[in-house]
Amino acid sequence: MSTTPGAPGDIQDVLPLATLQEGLLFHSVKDEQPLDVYTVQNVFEFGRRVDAAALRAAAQAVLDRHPALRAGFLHEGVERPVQFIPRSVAAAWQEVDLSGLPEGEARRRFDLVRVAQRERRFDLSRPPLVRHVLVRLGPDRDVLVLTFHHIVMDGWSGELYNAELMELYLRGGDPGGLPEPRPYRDYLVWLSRQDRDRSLAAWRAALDGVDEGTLVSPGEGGDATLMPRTVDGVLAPALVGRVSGLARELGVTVNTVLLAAWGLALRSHTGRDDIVFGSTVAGRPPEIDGVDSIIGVFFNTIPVRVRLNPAETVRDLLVRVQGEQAELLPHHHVGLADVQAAVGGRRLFDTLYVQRNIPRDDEGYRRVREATGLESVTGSDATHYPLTFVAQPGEEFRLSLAYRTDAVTAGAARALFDRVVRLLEQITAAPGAPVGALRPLTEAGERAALAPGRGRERDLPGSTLAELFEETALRHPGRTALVTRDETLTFAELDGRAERLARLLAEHGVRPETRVAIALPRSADWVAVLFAVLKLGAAYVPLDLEHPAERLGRMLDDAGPAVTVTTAGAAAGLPEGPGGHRLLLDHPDTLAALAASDEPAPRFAHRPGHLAYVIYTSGSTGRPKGVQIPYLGLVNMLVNHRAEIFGPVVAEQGGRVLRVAHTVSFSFDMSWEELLWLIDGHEVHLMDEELRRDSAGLVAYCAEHAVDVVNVTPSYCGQLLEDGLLDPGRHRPPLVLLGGEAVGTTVWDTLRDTPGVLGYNLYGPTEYTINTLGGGTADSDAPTVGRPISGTDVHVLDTALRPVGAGVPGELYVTGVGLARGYAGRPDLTAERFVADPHAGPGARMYRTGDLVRWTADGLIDYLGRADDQVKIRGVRIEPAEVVAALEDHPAVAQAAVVVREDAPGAKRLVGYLVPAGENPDTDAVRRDLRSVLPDALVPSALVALDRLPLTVNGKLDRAALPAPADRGPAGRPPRDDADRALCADFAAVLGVPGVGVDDDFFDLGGHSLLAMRLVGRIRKRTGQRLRAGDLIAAPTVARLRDYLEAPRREDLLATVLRLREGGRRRPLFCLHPASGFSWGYAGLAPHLDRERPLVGLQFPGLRGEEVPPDLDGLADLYLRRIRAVQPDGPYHLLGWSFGGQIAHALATRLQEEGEEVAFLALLDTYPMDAAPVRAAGGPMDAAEAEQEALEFLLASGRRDLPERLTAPYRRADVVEFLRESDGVWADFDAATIDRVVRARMYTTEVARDPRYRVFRGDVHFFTATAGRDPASGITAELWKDHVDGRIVETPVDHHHNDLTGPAALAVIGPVLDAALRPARPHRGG
Amino acid sequence: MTNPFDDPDGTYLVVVNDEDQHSLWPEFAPVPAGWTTVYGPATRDESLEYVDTHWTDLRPRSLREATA
Repeated sequence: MSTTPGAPGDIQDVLPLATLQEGLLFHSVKDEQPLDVYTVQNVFEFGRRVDAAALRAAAQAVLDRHPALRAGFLHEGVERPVQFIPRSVAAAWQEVDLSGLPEGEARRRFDLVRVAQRERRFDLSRPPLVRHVLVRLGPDRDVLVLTFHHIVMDGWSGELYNAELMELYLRGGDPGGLPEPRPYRDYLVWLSRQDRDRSLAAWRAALDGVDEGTLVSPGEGGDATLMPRTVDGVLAPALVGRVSGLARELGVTVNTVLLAAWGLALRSHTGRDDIVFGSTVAGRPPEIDGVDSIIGVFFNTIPVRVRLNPAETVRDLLVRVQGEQAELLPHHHVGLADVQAAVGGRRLFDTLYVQRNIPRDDEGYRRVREATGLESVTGSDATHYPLTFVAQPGEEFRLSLAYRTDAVTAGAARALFDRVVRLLEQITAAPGAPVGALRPLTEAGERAALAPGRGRERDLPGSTLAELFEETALRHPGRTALVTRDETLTFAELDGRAERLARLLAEHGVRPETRVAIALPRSADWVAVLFAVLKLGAAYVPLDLEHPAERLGRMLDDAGPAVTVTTAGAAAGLPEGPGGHRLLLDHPDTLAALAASDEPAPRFAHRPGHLAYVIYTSGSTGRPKGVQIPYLGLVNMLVNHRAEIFGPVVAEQGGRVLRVAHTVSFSFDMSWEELLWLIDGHEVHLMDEELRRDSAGLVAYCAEHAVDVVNVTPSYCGQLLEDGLLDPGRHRPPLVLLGGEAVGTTVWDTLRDTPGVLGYNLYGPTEYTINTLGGGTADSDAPTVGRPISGTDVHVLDTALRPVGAGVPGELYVTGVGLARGYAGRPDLTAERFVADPHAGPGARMYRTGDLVRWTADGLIDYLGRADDQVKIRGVRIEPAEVVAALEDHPAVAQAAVVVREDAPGAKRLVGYLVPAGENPDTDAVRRDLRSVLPDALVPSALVALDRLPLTVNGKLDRAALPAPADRGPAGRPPRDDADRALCADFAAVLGVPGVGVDDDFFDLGGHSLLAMRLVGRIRKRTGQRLRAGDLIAAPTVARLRDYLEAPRREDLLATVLRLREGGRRRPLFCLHPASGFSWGYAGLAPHLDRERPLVGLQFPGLRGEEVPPDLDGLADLYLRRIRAVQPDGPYHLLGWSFGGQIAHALATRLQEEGEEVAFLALLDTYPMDAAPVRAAGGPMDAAEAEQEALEFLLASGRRDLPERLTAPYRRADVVEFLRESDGVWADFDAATIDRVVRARMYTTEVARDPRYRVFRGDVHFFTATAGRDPASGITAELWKDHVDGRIVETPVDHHHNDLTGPAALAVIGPVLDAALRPARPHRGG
Repeated sequence: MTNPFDDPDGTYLVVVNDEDQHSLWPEFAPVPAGWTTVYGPATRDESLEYVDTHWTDLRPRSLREATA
């Protein structure tokens, strides 16, 4: 019943393959799945009995006439695959008789035959690759199943085959009289003569600048052999008429109109303006005569690029697309794989457009139907693209959209199909309208797309934020409001301080709309000044003291504040000139003015539209820009947070007051989160500059102080998690607020999966008050920026400003009560970023964020990236243009470009490229210069000098062609010993570079603050030596870090905690300052003490101008906290000289009261102030005496011989001058510091006068200064007996009291201390 | 994807609302309700220059008048 194909004996021809055939061969050979998608099937259904012999003869005749149908393919054992053509091949023929079966059963069996034919793979080396099965279905119903491999015949050829088969059948299989067909061979010959390079160049030009393909299905995956489903329909004849009419009018093809409509539909589906999709083309070169009659493979799939510009008219678009496609016509023969390879190998598309423009002789077809009883011919082939759009012109204009169900939902396919029809209607209705006026979505669709962007409306209280804060202060006056390193303030105290400051600011003319610059270290005063400004309805301008003075100067120039609030110390970093009146908070006049009156500050009529703050961000024009935020949005923010965050979290915690860590710089609006908690009566812990960056220290602080709320950037959060923030067995913050940059999955998943912890992400550009969107780990399994906060609307729009549906990327636009007024002094920038809102009420504005986002099906927003160049690195917003401007300002630089690179996953860094103005500059030197004009985050971590910047064909910067910065080998000296080697290894590991020399600068090698934290963490883990990230700035090389670790510090002589000697495994000896307030005199002890014993000095905080507690108890409290921050638990070791001895004794007893062990207490020549002989000897010190003592102390510290003119009594001015000239550590000393030293001296005398002693349980090591001593005074160590229950071990030292920390005295004291300390228990058993 | 407000070769209008706030506006899109065209069509630079010279006080008109 069946005939096996004849073996290829006599070979007529051996030919190369057309490129398309090569592709088909490759796919069929590599693919092992049962269904070969290139197996095509046509089914001929006849309504009467067929003459089987005649049909078989016809099939044989077709095979004989067309050599291409007899081809077999070989690829093994040959250099290039070949096709061989046997002279004759018997047609594959099979007959199946189902006519005896009941009709239903016959149909079922027929389907099995059809599917079996379809699924049986062809062996491409065994022709023919066409087979026929004639199925007798019933008495008068026959079906011919024709199955062939695409490699021998494309769709067009299939139609030719069908027509010829029927023609020959009518002729009884006799080919006589039919014209001789042209062989496929002629096409192969033509193909071999084409200029391949020229064609590839044409494709490259056509696809230039396609950044990424247009893909509707992520990833390569998906089941390519899945049979697609189809949506289809027939275009209304009237519309068909309009389409043809428009095509005629414009001189374009109907196909071009359909291409454009499909491109526009894809635009609304993908959110892209540069669309590429595949299109099948006939591929029959007109130069070959009779090419239309050749049976073979010509069909090709080419990329069609449709660039859409909303401003272009539809008419211009159609004409342009037609022209672009016509240019490519001569190059349709190039295989898709070759085109793709020529443009970089990217996947360009995964959707297909097909126009079935196969010429069908309708008249002939009718004749065949009548003669043969042929009722239908149906074809099927699997599409391997997720979406295939087919346009079939004809009497009926049929459109169909085949979609792969694993990639596209039925609903999405239906919507897309309808969109094409709607677009065709709009295109033909108004061809002169701009593309941007087209509405791919229905009105209902647009409404639905806008709906999830509407934030809830919540009633706002009539009170201002300042009033709400004052109400809290009235309700809970004694509750702790603010905890800082140096002081703890109740609500009443904080409000009182703010009120006094407000009065003073008002006296300097501060009113609504007046700017007040705040240039203060992170302290309680910062918060107090902020609330003072709010009380007056004025606006504050935060200045980051770490920014270069030049940049601060530009901000001050721009903001024009009436007053700049600062301290003597902080003012040193400010530029001279701008900033209005300079109010030094630590100046005696200021202190006096503040203390002068308790009158409340005046209140001014103030409106919600007045400015609350101006925050500067990186500006693309090369200058920072000031975002002006009015009061309106602040209260709204509080109302939103109460409902969405505070309420639920506080309820979860049983309604208690929460402790909130404030870690964010005041120059970011993100710093407001914690203040909102404060206004609601919670306790805010303000981390100082050092601690907020010290991730391990911060984690320890959170555990120790049971902090409940942490607000950080996601990258910093990752660091905190690594350092154990959520580790079991410690207090876990129930709420972690994230903001400032995109959240990674690791951080999100950890927060989501830790029991009892809520992660909450807050998103918002500075241009919208504090936050715009918010969402928590309870809302979404994956990182999300959430949904709009109350009073806020957001739109996700395409480039025509029309809303896009869920899942489609668009740009985020924001509107609502929190909208900024604009950019200070920049109406132009304001008018282009804050623009008319077509989707809100009349006259509304919206801010275009430049952020690419999309809606999820759940109404949450996914952040996708930036639409422009702006980048965020570690939460800091950076306009590369500002960095470029700074680079190009450098005299050594002619031209520059700045990009963000991620050469290693997760390691984003800013890299600058420069074209030198002359000689190749020292890029390290250029980087150092940049540091003086740009804040740290904006300084590129690497600079690369280039001869010229690479450009694309269009003359744009070719980012892909910018080289990665070379890994720098170790430039400096090699490591000198094991300690160097270990440090070099730490540097290299953290920086991700192969090696580091001891003189290589951490920051020059690409280090930044986050990496610095990692490095200090690593060094700490390895050695136990405590370092802070900030220390690396002072000592950025291995060599300098080594010195830094091993030598006593001289960096910050005014620091409250002064590390006199670091390193060592034992617990530190804490040295308390004498009356001068300084403790660095103890540094001389270091050589005498065990190397493993660190020395930590405590210095008077008043030296830095910080507020100090009113009494000794308060001071001891403060020191206790600082000591615990260094060493959280006992045993403790304390040493104090003079006034420091009083503090040491107080601290020792306090620690014992708190249950801690105090293993060592040493006092240097200090005596209980309540003992009668001491009272008899001392009187209060007056200001003049205190000043003289302070000046003497300072002169002595100059370590230089005094000139003769300097004699007691000293004058301040002379001393300042002398110190300034000394070129030593005091060179930048000024009169304000002397004031503070004098005040410290007076303070210590004052608070020490009437102490309350507790009894110290343990031995005391006592050193008596015996020189110049009056034995009759009765002042001896024994006086301590009332306050010490152990022994008093006395060592006489033959020196004066004032000389006890001189080298000679320490040579006596040191060894005694060392011996006494040795039995003390070593640190952690080490 | 070029934002319609960022096209250096685009044609723009300047529109103003009741608060005297100015906005750049791409000519191709219909002017939203509550906004009046005061300048254009013109190039982007020309439009922004118009804004710079005509919008001298960023305060909304209602605030300006209330505090005048």
